[in-house]
Amino acid sequence: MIPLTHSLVIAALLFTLGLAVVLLRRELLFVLMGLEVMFNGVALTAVAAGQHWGNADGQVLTILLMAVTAAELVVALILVWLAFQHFRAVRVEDLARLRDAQFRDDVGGGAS
Amino acid sequence: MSQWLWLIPGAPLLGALIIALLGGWIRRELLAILASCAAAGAFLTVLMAWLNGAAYQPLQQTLYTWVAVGDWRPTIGFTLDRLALVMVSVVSGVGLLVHLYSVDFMAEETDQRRYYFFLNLFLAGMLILVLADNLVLLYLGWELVGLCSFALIGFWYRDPVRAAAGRKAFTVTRVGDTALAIGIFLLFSQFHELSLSVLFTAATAQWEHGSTLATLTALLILGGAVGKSAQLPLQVWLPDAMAGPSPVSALIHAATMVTAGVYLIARTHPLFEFAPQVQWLVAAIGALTIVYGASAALAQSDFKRVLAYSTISQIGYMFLALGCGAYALALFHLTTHAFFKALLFLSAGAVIRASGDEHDIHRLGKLGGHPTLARWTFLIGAASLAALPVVTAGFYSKDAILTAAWAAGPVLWAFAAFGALLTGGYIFRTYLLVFHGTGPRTSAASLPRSMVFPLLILAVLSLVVGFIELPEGWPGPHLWSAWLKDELGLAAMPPAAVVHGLQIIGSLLPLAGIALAFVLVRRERAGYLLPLTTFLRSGWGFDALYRVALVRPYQVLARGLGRVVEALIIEGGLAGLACGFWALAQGCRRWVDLGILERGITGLVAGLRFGHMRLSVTQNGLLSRYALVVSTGSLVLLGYWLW
Repeated sequence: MIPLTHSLVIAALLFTLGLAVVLLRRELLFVLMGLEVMFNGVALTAVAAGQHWGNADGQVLTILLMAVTAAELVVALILVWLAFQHFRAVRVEDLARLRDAQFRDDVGGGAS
Repeated sequence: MSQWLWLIPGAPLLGALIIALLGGWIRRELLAILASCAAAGAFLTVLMAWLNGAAYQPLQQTLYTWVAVGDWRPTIGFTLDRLALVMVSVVSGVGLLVHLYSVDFMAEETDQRRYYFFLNLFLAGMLILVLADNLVLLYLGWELVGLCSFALIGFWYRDPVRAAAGRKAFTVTRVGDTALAIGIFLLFSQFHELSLSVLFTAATAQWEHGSTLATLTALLILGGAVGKSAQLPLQVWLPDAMAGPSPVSALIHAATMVTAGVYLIARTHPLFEFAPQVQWLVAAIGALTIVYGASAALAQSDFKRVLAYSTISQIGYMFLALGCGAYALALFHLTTHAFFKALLFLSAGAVIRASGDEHDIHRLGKLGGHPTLARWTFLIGAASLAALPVVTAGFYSKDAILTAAWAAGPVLWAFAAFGALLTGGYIFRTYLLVFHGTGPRTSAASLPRSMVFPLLILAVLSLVVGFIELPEGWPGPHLWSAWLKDELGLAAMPPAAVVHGLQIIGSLLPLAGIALAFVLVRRERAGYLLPLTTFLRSGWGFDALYRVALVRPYQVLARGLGRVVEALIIEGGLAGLACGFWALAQGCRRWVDLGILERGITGLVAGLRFGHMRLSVTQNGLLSRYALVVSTGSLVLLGYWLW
């Protein structure tokens, strides 16, 4: 049996990695991937805690989480695809359109 | 058998759901059949319960925990004991017959989906109310039947009078419902438990006989019962409730819903026994209502309003029995009343429909040509209502209540006996006026088959049900009281010699009433009117009284408040405010404008611009920056919390 600390460390690593990807990468697809990695960190915590307490709730939660994540990902991917189709946008800042025109130049790229 | 208990309220509920959700795809004729099948499902389950020995072995089913708040867990749980068994048998049986009757009665209506939805929902609500094993679920059923009653009274809502009748019923019963709700809250605050069986044991352990709290609780429950069962002083809604279709009047406003109050008191009778004053009040309300309803019915000219006042009066008998501690007898009268009053309403409905929606009994008499079967069934129902001795069910149940009332107090008996005399008078006056008028006696019209069967079955039941409990001292079966003795106890009865004397008087009263009816009808045909006719016809002027005492002051208050608010606050206040502002503006212009304002505004604008510059850095539209801020924030919060 794996000790709780090990799983928690792995989960924390996964979460931090995912967060780093979300924070540092600018491509929409990478951001989504980072989010998924964060989700997996959370799910791993749930499973590990479930194992530790001898309770199946954590696994149930994880399976539910997988289903929900899959559904959410479908919607998100469609949005990414539509963003590409309509705005030719693959990077996050390409979609920053609800801003003052004054500051638009700071970011570079800018909306078409 | 226990695991099928949910099917009793479940079948009509399912029917209601199907009709509500899929009704658009179902043909109109099939809707009626579907609704009837749902009612039949409930009735068959009850029948199965009887066959499986529910009469001696209470059944219990807990479906699931409704909500869990701390250690308080009200459940969706049903209990089928003897009291509930009687009620579900009556409700599902009469319900099924009324559904069948409706198939042809409502055949030409366009909005059958709404009708059958509410009829099925009503049946489900009533069965939930009866089967509930805790007060929360009971209250759910209680409100459900109230809602369905409102919706079905105002079924023809395009007619403003009918819609108003529905609203009136809803508003008046709400007074009682609120009392009941407060009573339930009070019980909960006392015992932290609303399951009926636990409640009764806890009350027995903690309450003292005649304590204030017990009296208050019983009084509040009585308030609920009075509202739903249309007793004095909350009876005003029932006569107007006749605006609904006749089958609805038969089912909801005669046989089942209005007796929910009687059931409630019988169900909570252990609580009432701690409050002797309230029990006395129940008997007093019953006795007064008997005379009130019967005397008001004597002067009505609307066919269905006669029956409505009659229902009020008959439920008065049940309240009288409850107040005397004769719970089993109240239930007995409830059962026979359900049969003969449903029969009367359904017969009246058939007559009214055959005569082109004519409600006036004098004009119905002139029209004549009523369906022959309806005439005979109405006669049977009338005889049972008047308690014609020996042959009718009404005699056995009413006579037993009269005897029990004597044991509780001869004054109560006098009221009930006077009511019995008037009962024979008003119902046979109606019968003679409608069916023995100047119009032709014979009729070519025949009733559709789905209306014939319920009438016949109810007619037979109105005659024979009484034989299960013969009067005190007679040879023959005494099944009813003996069977219910364990749950509801036995009523105190006067000594045997008195009982026989009372029985003789009780048998003569209906006959005297019928003789009174002949006299009344002859006088009425000759053009004489009863003294006080307008007073009685308006139901002792209760509507006018409430209008003067409650509705008018309320409207005056509302209008007065409107005027005060408008005059003082809106006009006075706003005008004053405007003047003040005007003065302020003048002052500002003189003092502030040039010196302070100019400089102040410049400073403010500069400050705002500075703040805008600083703050807009956080709102630069960069997703990753936002994510960084969010994660840093949550990290700080988490750290603070853990540390």
